[in-house]
Amino acid sequence: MAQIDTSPPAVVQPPARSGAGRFLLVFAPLAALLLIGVPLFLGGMPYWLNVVTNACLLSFGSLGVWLTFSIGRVNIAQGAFALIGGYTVGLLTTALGLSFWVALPLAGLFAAVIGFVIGWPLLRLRGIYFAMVTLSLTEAVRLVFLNIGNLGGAGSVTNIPTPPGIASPMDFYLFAAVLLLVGYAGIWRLQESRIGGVFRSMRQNEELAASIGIDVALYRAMAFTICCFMGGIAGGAFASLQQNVYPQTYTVSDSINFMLYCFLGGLEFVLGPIVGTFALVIAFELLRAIQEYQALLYGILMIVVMLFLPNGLLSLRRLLGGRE
Amino acid sequence: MEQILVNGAILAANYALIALGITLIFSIMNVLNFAHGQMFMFGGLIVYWTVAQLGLPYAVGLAMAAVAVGLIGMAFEVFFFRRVMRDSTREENTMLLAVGTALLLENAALSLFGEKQRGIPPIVTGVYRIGDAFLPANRALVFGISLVLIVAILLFVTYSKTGRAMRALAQDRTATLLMGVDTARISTLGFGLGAALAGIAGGLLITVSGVNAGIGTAISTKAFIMIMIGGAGVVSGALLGAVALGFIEAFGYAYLPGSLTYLMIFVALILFLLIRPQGIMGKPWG
Amino acid sequence: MSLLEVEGLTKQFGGLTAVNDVSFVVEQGQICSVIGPNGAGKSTLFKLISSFLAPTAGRVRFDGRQVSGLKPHRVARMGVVRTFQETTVFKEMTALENVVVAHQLGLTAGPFGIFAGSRRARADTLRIRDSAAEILDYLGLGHVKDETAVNLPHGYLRGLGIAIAMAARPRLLLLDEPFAGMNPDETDRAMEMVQGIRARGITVLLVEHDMRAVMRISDWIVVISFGSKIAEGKPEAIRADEAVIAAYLGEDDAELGH
Repeated sequence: MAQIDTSPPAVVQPPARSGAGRFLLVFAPLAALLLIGVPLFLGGMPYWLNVVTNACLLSFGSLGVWLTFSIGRVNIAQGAFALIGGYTVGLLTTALGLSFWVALPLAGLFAAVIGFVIGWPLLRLRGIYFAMVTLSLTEAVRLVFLNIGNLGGAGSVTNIPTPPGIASPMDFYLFAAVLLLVGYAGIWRLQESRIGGVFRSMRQNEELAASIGIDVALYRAMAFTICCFMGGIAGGAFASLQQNVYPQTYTVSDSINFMLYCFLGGLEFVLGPIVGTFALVIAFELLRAIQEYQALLYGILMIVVMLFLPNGLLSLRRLLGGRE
Repeated sequence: MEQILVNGAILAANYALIALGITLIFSIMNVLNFAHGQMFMFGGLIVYWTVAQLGLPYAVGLAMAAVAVGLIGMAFEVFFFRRVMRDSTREENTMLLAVGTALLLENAALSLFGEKQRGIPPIVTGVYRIGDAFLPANRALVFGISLVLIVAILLFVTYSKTGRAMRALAQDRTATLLMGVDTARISTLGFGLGAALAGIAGGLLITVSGVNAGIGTAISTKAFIMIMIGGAGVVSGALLGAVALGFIEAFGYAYLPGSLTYLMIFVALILFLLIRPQGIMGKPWG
Repeated sequence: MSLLEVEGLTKQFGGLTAVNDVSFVVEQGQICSVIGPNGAGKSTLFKLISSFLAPTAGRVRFDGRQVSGLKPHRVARMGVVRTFQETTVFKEMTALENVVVAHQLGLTAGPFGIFAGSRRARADTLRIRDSAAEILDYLGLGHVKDETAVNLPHGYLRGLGIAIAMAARPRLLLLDEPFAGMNPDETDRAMEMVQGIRARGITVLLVEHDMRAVMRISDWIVVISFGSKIAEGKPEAIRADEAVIAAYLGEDDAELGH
C-alpha cells in the first residue's frame, strides 16, 4: 500500500493541549457563573431561579439541535424527543415506581433509539425537506400521545415525584446546571475531535465526504441520535421539574424555539445554543413588564438580531474586534 | 358520501390558495415561507376588524386583507429577505429568517387583536342540496371565490408579462437577470402576490370557522404537507397536494376522530417521502 | 491478476443506454485513460467504477473483489478513490483541514477512543497533520495550507481536490477530467502531478477529453463512443486507429494530439 512518507516534519502544535486551554477559557467562567454566580444572586428569588433552571434544561436540548446543525440539517423535531423523554420519566416513575435517577437515563436512551430508527431513513432528506418533515414529526408525536389519551390510555401524567435527594428548587437548579455543564463539555469534546471534523465536512459536501471513505449515513445518524438523546434527557428532567407532562408540553413552537436558540446564539460556537437560550428566555421574562406588547417586542428583537447579527449573538465579539 | 365529497372539494379549494401562495414564494425566492400560516391568520383578522369592528362590507374587508397582507409580504422581501440573501453565508439563514417573520407576525397579532377566536357571520345564508349532501350557501360562495382566484392566478402566471417573468425567475435567476428583467421588482411582486393569496384564504375562512392569533403554525404545517405531497416549487404539485389533503381530511373527519386523522396523514406522509422525496410532481434533487 | 477489472459494464437510464457492455482492465502501476467525444458516457462510466452509480449489468472488480453494488464509502476504503469535476472541496475549511478530514481512513482508534481523547487518538492526530501537510507540499499547495478554501484561486482548487483524494490513501485514483479548462502551462504542471502520483505507487485511471495530454502520459488508453468501447491500446496504436479517428471526426484536429 502506498504509504505517505512523512519526511518534512511540518511544525504543528499539538491540538489537544491548545484545545484544552481554549476549552477552559469558556468552561471555567461558565461554570463559575452557573454554580456560584446564579445561586448567590438568585438564591432568594424563586421565580427567577425557576426561569434559570428552565433555561438550563432548554439549553441542554438546544445543544443537541446544534449538533444536527453541524451536519447541515435544520432539525425541528427536538420537541418530539423532549416529549418522549418527558413521558418516559413520567410513566417509569409513577406507574413502575422507578427512581428518577434510573428513569432519566432510560428516557434519554429511549429517545435515542427512536431517533436512530426514525432518523436513519429521514436523514436522506436535506434542506427544507428535512426541516418540513421534522416539523411534521413533532406534530405526529404530539398526536400519538393525544390519541393514546383519547383511547383511554395515559394522555397525561401528573404527580411525577421530585427526584430523590433533591429537596429544594435550589437543588434542582444545581442539578440542571451540572447537567448543562456536562452536556457542554461533551459536545465541545465531540466537535473538537475528528468526529466533529467529519460532521463539518458532511455539512459542506456529503458526496465528497463519501468519496474519501466516510460512512455518511452512519455519521449523520450518530449526530441525530445524540441530539435525540439530549432532547429526551431535557424533556425528562423538565417533566420532573413540572411534576407533570401533557401532549401540549412540547409543540411545534417548542421545536422551532430549540432551533432558533442555536441560530441566534451562533452556529459556529458550541456556546451558541446556551447563549441563545439564556438570552431569549431572559429577554422574554424581562419584557413581561410591558404587558401586551411583550410578544411584539420579543418578535421585533429577534428579527433585529437576525438582520444585524446573522451569525448569532456570539459574533458580536468578533465585530467588536475581539479575538477568535 | 356526497357530503364528504362536497366538504372535500371546499377544503381543497381553500387549501389550493394557500398552497399556490407558498409555492409562488418558494419557486421565485427559494424561500420556504414559514410565515405563510401567520399571513393567512392576519388576513382573517383584518377581515374581522373591517367587517365586525368598522362595519364595512365584506368585499371591502377581503380586498383590504389582500392588499395589507400583500404589502406585508412585499415589505418582508424588500427589508428582510433581500438583505439576508445578499449577505448570508449559510443557506439556513433565509429559512430561519422566515421563522423569525412568522414569530413577528404572530406576536404582532397577539398584541393587536388578542388571543380570542374571532369570526364573522356568514356573508350569505341558506343551504343548497346536492343529492344527499347539504351545501351552505356561504361555503358555496367561498368555494366559488377560491376557484375564480385559482384560475385567475394560473392565467396570470401563464400569460401576463409579469407572470412569465416570475416563471423565468423561478427557473434561472441569473439568466433572467441577463435578459434584462428587473429581478428585484419581480421578486418583490412575487412575494407580495404569494402573501396576498394567504391573506385572502384567511379572509375567506373566517366566514366559515373563525381565526385566532395562534392558528398560524397549524396552517403553515398544512401548507408544508401539501407541498411535500405535490413537490416543492411546482404549481401542478401545489394543486395536487391541496386536492389530496382536502379530500383526505374530509374523509378522515367523517370516519375517525380528528386528531387520529392527522396522525395518520403524518405517518403516511413520512413513509411517502422516504419512497419519493421530491413529492409527486417535483423533480429529483440532491 | 489485474488491479481493476471492468466486465461487461452496462448502464441504462430509462430507455437510454449510457454505457453499453464496456470491458477493460487496469494493471497495477499504470496510468490508464478513458477518452471519448463529449456525451460518450465517460462520466457515467466513471461513476459506475467509483460505485456512485449501480450498473444495470456487468461488474467492476478491484483487486479480485467485487466493487459494484457497494456503498461509495466502502469502495473508497478498499482503495478506489475518485476526484470530482470542477472544484469540489470543503469550502469553509482551510486547505490543511480539508486534507486532515480526508485522512479519516487512517483511523486506528475507534470513534469512542477519539471522543475520549485517548493517547492513541492524539498520536493519530499528530501523524495525520504531518501527513496532510506533506501532501499539500508535494502538490505545491504548502504555502496556502492555512487559507480557507473558498478564498483560494480557482487554479489551486483542483489540486486541493486531488490532495483530498490522496489523503484517503488510494491504491487506485480515479481522476475526473483533471485537465479540463486548463491552459497548456497548467496542463503541463497537472501532468507532472499525475506522473508524480504514479511514482508514489498509486495506479491512476483518468477520464479525460483533452487528447493531447492523454497521449503523452497514458500507458494504456480506452476509447468509448456512444457508450461502447471502440478501441483500446497504447497511445501510438490509438493515434493510428481508424475507428477512433472516425469517432473524433469533426472535432478539432489538435485534440488528436498532432
